[in-house]
Amino acid sequence: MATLHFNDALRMAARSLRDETLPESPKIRLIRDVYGRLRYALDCSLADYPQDELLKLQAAQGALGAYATSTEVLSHDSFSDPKAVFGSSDWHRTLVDLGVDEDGEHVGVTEVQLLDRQITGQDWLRPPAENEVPHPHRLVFFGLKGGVGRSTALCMTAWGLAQRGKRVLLIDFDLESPGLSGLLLPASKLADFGVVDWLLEDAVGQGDSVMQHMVAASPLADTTVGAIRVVSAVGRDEQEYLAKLSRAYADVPGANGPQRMGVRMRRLVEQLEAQEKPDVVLIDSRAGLHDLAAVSITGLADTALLFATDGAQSWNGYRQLFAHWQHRPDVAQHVRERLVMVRALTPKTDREASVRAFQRSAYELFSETLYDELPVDAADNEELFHPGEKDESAPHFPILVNWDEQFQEFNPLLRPEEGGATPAQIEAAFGLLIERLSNRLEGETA
Amino acid sequence: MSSQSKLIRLGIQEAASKLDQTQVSATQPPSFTYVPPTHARALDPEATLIEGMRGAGKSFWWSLLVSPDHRDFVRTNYPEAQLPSGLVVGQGFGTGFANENYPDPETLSKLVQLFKPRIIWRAVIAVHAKFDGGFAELTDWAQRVKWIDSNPEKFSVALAAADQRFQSTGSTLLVLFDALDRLADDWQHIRPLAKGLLQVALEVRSTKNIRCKVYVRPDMLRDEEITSFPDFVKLEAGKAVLTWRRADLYSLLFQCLGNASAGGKQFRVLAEALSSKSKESATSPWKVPLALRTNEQLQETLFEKLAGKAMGASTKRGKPYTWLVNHLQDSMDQVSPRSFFAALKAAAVETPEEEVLPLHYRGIQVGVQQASQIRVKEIIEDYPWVKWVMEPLHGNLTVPCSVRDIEKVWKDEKTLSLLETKLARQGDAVKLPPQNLDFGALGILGDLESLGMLEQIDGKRIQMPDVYRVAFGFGRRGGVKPLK
Amino acid sequence: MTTVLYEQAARRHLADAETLLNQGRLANAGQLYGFAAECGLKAMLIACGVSPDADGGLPKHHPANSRRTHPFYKHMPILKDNVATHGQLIPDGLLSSRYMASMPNLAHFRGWSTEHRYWADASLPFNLVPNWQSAAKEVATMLDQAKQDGNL
Repeated sequence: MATLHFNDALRMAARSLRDETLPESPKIRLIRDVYGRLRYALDCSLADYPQDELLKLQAAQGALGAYATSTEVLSHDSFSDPKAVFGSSDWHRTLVDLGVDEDGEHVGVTEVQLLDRQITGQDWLRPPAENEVPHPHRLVFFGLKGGVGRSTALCMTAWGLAQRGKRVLLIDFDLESPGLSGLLLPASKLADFGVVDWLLEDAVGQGDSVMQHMVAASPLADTTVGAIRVVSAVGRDEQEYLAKLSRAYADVPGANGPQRMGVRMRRLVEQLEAQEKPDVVLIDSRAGLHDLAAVSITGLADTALLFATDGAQSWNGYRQLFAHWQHRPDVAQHVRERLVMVRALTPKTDREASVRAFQRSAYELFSETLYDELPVDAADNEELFHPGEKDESAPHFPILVNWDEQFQEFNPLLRPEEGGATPAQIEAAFGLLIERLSNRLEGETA
Repeated sequence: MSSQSKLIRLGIQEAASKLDQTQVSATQPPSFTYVPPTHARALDPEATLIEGMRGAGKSFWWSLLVSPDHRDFVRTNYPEAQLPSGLVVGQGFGTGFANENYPDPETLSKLVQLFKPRIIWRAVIAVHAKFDGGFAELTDWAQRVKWIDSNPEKFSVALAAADQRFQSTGSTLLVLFDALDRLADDWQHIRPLAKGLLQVALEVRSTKNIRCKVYVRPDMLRDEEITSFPDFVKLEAGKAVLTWRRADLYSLLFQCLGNASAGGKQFRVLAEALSSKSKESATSPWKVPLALRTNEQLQETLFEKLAGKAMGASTKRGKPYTWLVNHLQDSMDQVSPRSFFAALKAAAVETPEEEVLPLHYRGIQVGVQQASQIRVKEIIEDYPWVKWVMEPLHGNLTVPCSVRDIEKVWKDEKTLSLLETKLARQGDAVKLPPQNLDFGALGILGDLESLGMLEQIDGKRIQMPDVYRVAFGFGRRGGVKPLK
Repeated sequence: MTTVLYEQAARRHLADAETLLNQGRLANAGQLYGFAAECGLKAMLIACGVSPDADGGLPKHHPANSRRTHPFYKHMPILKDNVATHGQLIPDGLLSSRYMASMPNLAHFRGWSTEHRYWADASLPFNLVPNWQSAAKEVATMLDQAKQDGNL
């Protein structure tokens, strides 16, 4: 028998569920453990489930070979608190592509309740609660990799918003590539502590002690009506960064169970908001495909700016991220309206064709993963979300950030006379971005 | 507030009804005229070839230019059009009642059996140029064309003389041609006539004060058999296109609303609040302030006062200013004013009386649907074959789809061979068959593309704009499938 | 199946402790809460890589010095302290710290002892039983999580 691999396991497990002799209720669920192995899970006790069908399930589970956690089909009997396990909000309606059969015919797509245990937890795939406390708009800046000018864009956005009189709070969550402070604060002006310090102190219950020493004022806002308050990843005169970093992601005991990193990040943001009372919060997210980045988009962002360049690497990377959400339709529906595509390094030459091609690629990516399919006979169903290709307010419609050589190794703190950028140059490269974001913020209060 | 909205709502309906007429007539006041920048260029007598989709305004201009009053209005209010005075305008072909100025299609079909098309058109020019002498005595088209045919040298001389006459009086003769799809009953016969006309239009440019202006649809200009003559490139180089950009559509709307009897006053107040200087407000009829004609941000702000800020609970569902136009655009990004106004009229009708704003977003959605149905009806009117090839695809596909998917349906339903049979059987009554039926499915798709109904992406897939997609029964492919 | 199966034992002790508590039998309920916690922690340790003996139980002797008892061969509350101080004996320290983080109230067992099984009713700290109950439940929740993770 051929070896079953990760991709095949879920498919095979889901296929067995199509057996029509299996009882309607309880619907059989699947749990995928941290190693990617699967088990069926019954929301009842074994005694309440028909024996024959149970044997079938056990056989199906056994057929998964190395990708079955064990021979045990889980049920209420497997847990001390089955209600908590089966009622957890970590279960997601998940779509599984059943692949092709021996004749090459596509079998179809089925839906299954899947609990996907991941190391960093997934409390974040949960949309925020209905009665969530109002907070200032949180703008997350995300990119698949560095070097596309995301940090510079973030800086310039902060400046542009400050120009418009906003009080801006910047938080650097890109702990692996801390960069924000370098752009916004001279070394001497860094705050005593950074995000990584808070994470450590919070783990031992002392987070509050560093809160007020984490925020510094950026001189970039000196000439504006607003303010730019910066929370760096690293504090001033840091010598032990790597030692701290390796401990920063640990789960922390909490009254209601361990606090995963994502929850802690949100808590930090909320506390900073309470302390600083900003009009808008800009967050530099961890780059790359990592569940922490994915969670800060789904769980933290009111708007998530996705930086991309026009290349296969970019499109393939985003396709992976989007497909992850696509398979969990509840999550897809929540996250898609918060995304905005940003084209970094837009070339000046051959511009029209290039812009058109990028727009089209962006539309195709979104429509193939996150937008609703509009059935043939649907009258304009208000529930369905599928903006037109040319719709400028659509998530896929890219905001263009122009490539400009002078921003490559850029020091925003320099005055124009010293070689820094003039407001006109900033406007030329980042004007569209600042404008669009400003409008988006206004649109909220309207 | 809501009474103001009611009035403006009525104003929208009034504007739409007025604009429904293709041709300028006594009931359409000049105040409802708006000249977009590209149209202004198209008025220049030197622009011989004018391209415009259905509804873009070809027939509108073909009628308007004949009326001296309307010409004056344009000259005064749109100086940038640089419409010269001293124009003598005649119509060389078009719709409307048969008249002595040009041969009707029936006459043409007889003439073309005896004479070359170029000769026929020269005769038409000769009539408008008022050739004197023996020619002037002829009353019958057959005789006139025969004269031209038999007297090539005399034609050149008479033309030069006519040119002189116009020059001496400081006037320019402008002969207008429209509705070329009516030249004959099928492509086979239209093509030579159209080609001949373009050739003559080019010939006439050798004079100083005699010019032709030919209004053509884009699909006709894509037909190689019509355009394959030497020096066509000269015509094409000077071609003007009647485009309606988004800003132009809204300018037209504002122009009409500001002059409507219902709600006009209220609307003018709203408009003038946004533009700084309002010295133009004193003019009669009222003219849209320049800022509102060119600044899309301002236009959007003004339109927000009519339709609100969002196409739903939040702006994430789209904003009316852009949504409306996006959903009416064909695959070449063109929207005809007729569609635009049809949508707005339906939206005004659909919006409930008590609604705070003149237009509710749901009304706009319905409006777009209705406009798209009208659009489809128009296309099918012009090209019945479209219906026959699109019908089998209804309800079966989502776009983007592959060319192969469509080919398969057509093959299974034997669509193309049925089409050929129908065309053969119906003969004259069929109007225009697809130009490229001979090239099979790909040919038909190419024809549909040149009509703006779909777009071929990387040669393998088909995308369809919403304005046609819904009416023809295609879904839109998406990553999140509906719950079963 | 091995003779010793800490997970099953932990759940059994907890279930019976609950039954006894509902019947007002605080003394033995209290004992069983402590054993439930002990077995739960030991199940976790094995899941985190501590090699069990042939019978499935934790080793009796310190790996470095066979004369010394293994620090994990203990009851509550010492077991909990030893897990914290002898982290180096746990192969997958990261995993164990994750699970330990989900049990913040193990310190409640400070007043618990196996000796209580010999004591008079009057000497027993009945007031601590509710805390032992909630801490034991924390352990059970941890076991449920570890099970879902595929580590148990």
